Amino acid sequence: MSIANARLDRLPGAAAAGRFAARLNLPNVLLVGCVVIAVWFVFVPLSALIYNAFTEDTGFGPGAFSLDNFAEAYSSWHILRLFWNSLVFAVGTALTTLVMGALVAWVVERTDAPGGSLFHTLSLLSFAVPGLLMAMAWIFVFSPNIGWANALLKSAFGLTEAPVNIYSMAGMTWALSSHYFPLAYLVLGPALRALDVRMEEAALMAGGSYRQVFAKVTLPLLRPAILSALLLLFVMGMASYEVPRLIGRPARIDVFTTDIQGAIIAAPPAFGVASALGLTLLAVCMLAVFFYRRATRHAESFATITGKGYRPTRVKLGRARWPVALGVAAMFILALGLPLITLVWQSFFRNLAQPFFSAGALATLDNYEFILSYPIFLAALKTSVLLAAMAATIVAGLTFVMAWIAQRSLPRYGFILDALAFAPIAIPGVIVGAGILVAYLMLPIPIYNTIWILLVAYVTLYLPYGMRFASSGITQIHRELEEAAAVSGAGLAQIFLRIMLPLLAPVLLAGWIYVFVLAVRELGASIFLVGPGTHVLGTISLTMWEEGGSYGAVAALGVVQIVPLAVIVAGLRSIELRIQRRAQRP
Amino acid sequence: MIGGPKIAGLAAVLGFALSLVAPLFLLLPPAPARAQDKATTPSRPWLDPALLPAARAEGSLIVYSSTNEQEGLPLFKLFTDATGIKVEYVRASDAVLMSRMGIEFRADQSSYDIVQTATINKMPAQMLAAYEPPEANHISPNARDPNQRWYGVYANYNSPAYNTERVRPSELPQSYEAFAQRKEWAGKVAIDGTDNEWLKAVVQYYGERDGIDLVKRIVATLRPVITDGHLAMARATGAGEYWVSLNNYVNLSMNVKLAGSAIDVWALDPVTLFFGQVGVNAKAPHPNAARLAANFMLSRECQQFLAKFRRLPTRNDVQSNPPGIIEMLTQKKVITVLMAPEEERRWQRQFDQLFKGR
Repeated sequence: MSIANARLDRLPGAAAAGRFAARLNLPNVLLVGCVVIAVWFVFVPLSALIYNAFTEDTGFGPGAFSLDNFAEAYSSWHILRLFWNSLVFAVGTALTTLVMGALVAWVVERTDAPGGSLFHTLSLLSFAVPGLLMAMAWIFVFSPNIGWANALLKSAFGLTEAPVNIYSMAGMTWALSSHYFPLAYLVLGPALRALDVRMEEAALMAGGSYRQVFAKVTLPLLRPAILSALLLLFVMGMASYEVPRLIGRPARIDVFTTDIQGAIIAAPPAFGVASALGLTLLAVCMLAVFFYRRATRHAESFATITGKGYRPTRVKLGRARWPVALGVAAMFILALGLPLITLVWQSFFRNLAQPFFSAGALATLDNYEFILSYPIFLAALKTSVLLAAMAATIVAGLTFVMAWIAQRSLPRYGFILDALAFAPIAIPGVIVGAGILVAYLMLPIPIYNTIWILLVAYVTLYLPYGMRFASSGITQIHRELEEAAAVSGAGLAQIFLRIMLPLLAPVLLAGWIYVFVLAVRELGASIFLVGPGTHVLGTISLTMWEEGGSYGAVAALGVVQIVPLAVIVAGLRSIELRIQRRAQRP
Repeated sequence: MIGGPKIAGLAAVLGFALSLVAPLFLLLPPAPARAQDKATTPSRPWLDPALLPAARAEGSLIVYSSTNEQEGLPLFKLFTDATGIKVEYVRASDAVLMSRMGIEFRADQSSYDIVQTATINKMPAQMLAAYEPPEANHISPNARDPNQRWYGVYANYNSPAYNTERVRPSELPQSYEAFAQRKEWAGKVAIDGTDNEWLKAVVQYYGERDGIDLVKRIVATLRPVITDGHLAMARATGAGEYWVSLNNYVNLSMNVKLAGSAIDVWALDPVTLFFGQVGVNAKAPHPNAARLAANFMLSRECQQFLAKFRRLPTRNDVQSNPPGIIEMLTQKKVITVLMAPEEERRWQRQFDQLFKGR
């Protein structure tokens, strides 16, 4: 080293520049790029939410600084009732859903009960059913006036009053849980699959009872996945809209989302009030993320995929194999079968038709003919599938990188990254759509009225889901695997592609499928962003609901959406199974 | 563990590549629309010769509308067939259209030429071009904006509706006061949560104090279920979920009836009326095509087409579907309600207080 260079190195700025140059390689640049893109995606709707909340509604968008929106949103005692109803609904849904999902996950992933593949495919299929139709189907099943299951029970037991009333808090909780429990299964399934059974065996050998082992070994190991599922389900319960709209409103059970929607559909829309209400929703969700991070802060304790090898094994149920499988099948029939049968049945009739009670009405294919010949249906189907595939791929890639940075590279700031990626879940889709609309009309980025602005919205909306899948997956992989690879000379790219990606493939694929299915039927943001020639399925569904179409046409549209998704999901499931089988070969 | 990563990697790469390439299909240009040049004919008086050449030169028209595509697209095909002007049609609810147009106006974005929905009278005047289409002379006077910013394309009459299997015609109340006596209907009557126009008409008809008092008695006796969406309420009443809709759009109740459901309407004083309207964007990218299209929307041809879908016409020379429905409604006191945004907010707050106890 020359004297001049040595002197230069002694300068503090030069040393920092040297360290910076050493870190300036392609993988690091890609990492930073991913984070910047993700932050940008989240920043736009988040800033729109805050900006709208603190400015006056002018009819042309936000105006001068004002606190009037908060005064209007929070000045009545009604807000306490909203808060309480939302909390009860979200907590009730999260717990019910978790129990149902955990049961399916345990049976499918940890036992030799038959039907695992069928249950898995059915779980994925449930996401294809739009929330609005699921709520409508439950009304047709358990409405005191027109519910066919109530009519059946009344006639069977000679009752004068309907035994079940869907228009209640319990009815709302059940209607949402029956739709979301497969999500709990999808989040818990990979964690149970990766759980090293030798830890449980060791505890049993040491004299622990099954109950003790379950409470002190199995549950703590699953804590990140359980909390991840609970967090997701709680927040989805807080943010859900269709069930409160169709079932809660007639029962006068208002929640945050129904009031937010009420403000948005006013003419002109009161975005400021909606945003002020949305900020509370956001704060509650951020608090939930904070507690989740706190509960899983010693991440290594939960890693079961270590450098010492892991061996997923199944519990042999013996004679209980079939009864257990039938029990889970009964749960699927009750939770998914009843509404789906109702929807399919209804799709063959124009007006309300109750299964087993519609002997007088003639079945017809008119509803399907109506949907398939609807002027823009096929174009919208194509656009929705393409957008969903692109959004799912981008979300899976971005959240994989972000979750890794949050947990491995910068764990101290992981909360910020995690919370940021999670924020969009608490912002209603319509506000995300309106925020993106405002931003990209003002910015010199010419994507307005193109498919790309919809893609931006979809990636933003589904980052939280991808983050939860990736985050819970990475938590279970011990960092010693990466350290061993690094010591052996592997670069960051090799560690990502050769170690992390294969181990996380099942989780990422599950996340991909989930985002894909949700994105195919996205509605909230799309209503603001579809332009000439960029129609999507969600907006057609809404048109059917708002502006035309009988019950039969609405049901037929749901069935028509479910069938192609079922084929796609089945195809992806077969890829997933092949990956698993090859991975288990000696 | 060797095959797994390879397949996973391959699937990921293929999926990513597909995702990036797939949208290119969307960029393929659509097949050019065939312009059928039908010259101005006596059957199409709306084809204004003063506008037609300039409108054709502009080549296309962008429509924002709250009417579903099943009605809207064939309707504007008539326009395209007659003029050769290609139409881009964007459908959304009136609330979404209102905010979208407001945001676009502020950003100086010229995205649409005409708008067709039921809330145009609530738009700020500077967003709309003042224009008097020649066909406006044929529509009823209360369907015309004195400032020439909007015109009524179809009439939204409001009336109660009932399920014909649950309620006999002889049981129907003949006034809203009689409604307040029907204790046996408690919990079986529905009203949409945004029907502030109906409330204003009732208060205007009965007077401030008596009107509010009447609505209070109706709410206390019937405990109405608050629903979300007028079509959803019409379908639910037709299905028997609710026995009676306290108020609904007549054309929606009739739509559900003509689809075979057990629903019918009857008229009470007052009948609330407002309009599905058309307006021309002040910043229309195709201003001549926009004016020609607005003229078309008020034409006999357009309103006859919409009547097939049970929209009630604003022209006297177009028969309603079913025939006689307008005559039945106009035997009662019809109150046209067209509110500015601030006034509507005030009435909505009043509605929430009365019906939701807030």
